Amino acid sequence: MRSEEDAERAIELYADTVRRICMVHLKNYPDTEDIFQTVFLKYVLHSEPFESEAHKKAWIIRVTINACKDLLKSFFRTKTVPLDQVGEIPRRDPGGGNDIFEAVLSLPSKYKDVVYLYYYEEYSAVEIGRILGKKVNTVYTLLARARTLLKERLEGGTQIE
Amino acid sequence: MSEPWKEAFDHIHAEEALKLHTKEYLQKKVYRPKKSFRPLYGGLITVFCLMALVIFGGYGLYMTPTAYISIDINPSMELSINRFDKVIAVDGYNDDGNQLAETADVIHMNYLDAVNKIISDEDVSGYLSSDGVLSLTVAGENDSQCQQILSEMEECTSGHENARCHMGNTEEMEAAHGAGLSLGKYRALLRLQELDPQVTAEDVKDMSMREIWNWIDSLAGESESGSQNSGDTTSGNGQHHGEGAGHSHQHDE
Repeated sequence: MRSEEDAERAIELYADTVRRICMVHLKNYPDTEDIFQTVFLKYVLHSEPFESEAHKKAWIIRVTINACKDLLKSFFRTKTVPLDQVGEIPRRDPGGGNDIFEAVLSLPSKYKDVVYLYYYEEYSAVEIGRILGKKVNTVYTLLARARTLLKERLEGGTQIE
Repeated sequence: MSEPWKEAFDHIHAEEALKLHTKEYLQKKVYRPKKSFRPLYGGLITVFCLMALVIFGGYGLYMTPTAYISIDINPSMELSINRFDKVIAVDGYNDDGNQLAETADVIHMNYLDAVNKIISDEDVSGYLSSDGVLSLTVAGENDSQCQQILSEMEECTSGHENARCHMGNTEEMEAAHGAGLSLGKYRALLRLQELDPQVTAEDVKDMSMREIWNWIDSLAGESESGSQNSGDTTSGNGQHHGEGAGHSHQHDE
């Protein structure tokens, strides 16, 4: 088990990354809190050493994405809508890059991670394949399709590349 | 990274409250979990303890003897009675007594029903009908319970001419058990030893009460001393017990 200092340091370092992934996948704050607790509890209980900070970050990204997917596919969530979420519009922060952010959110779920990891976190297709547990060719295919969808949504506006 | 992508996601930060709640969650869950029981568990444990106390305490009370009835004719046995007037143990003090103790199914019965059942036993009633002497001796710590038992024993045996009911005490009973005798037979031995100090517990252990009383009467006759000078008071019909011809209830106070 990791020390409390180690856990707090990891929270300070990777909270923004976890928050961004949650923002891409989830629509309400209580779910985000659940994901934070799940991810950092797993981190505390994960006793194997990391090779580097990059390795640690990739591990946290993978655990966060899996936690979000688990939450989204749980039976209760797929069949119900929380009362506080009825009629709620996904939170959008004003500011620069809003078009791209909106376009990413509008993508089917299977494209969101590859787009976020490739364009924002700047992982290579190989690294993304390793994080998501997918073949590199699959990653390329997902990226290509996502790029097409983004271009359609951002037509005449912001450049993707 | 291109500027638009940086702008799209850079403005997203984890709220300080979110980080704080996560740290608090880890503290509560991993680093400083509360060791106290939840109130529900505490309540359940209390209820469980009370139930255990009631069950085992009640069982202890039920299984504690407060009075004893020594039944001697030839089968020699003792019934242990609890405060609820139930028979909780039957001990035989000779071969016939042991056999009867094993076969007489009187545990958890009211003592009066138990004594009636034992007196109705084929062997016991056989002794009674062939001029045997039945001795019922009551002893215990609880005087009022013992008096009540003695009174009921007298009533119960009123139809048997050769039945005698006595009140003993626990000191005598302990001495009787030390000698390997039931209380009733031990008291007869004491009476016998007053007349002949050479007599031992082994001599009388396998004798029937009729044989012991006959012995007592023969020694009493020899010494020309009255057999009723033993301190017993006769509250029955006043007949001499030596021949067992009358229904004699004797009380030692």
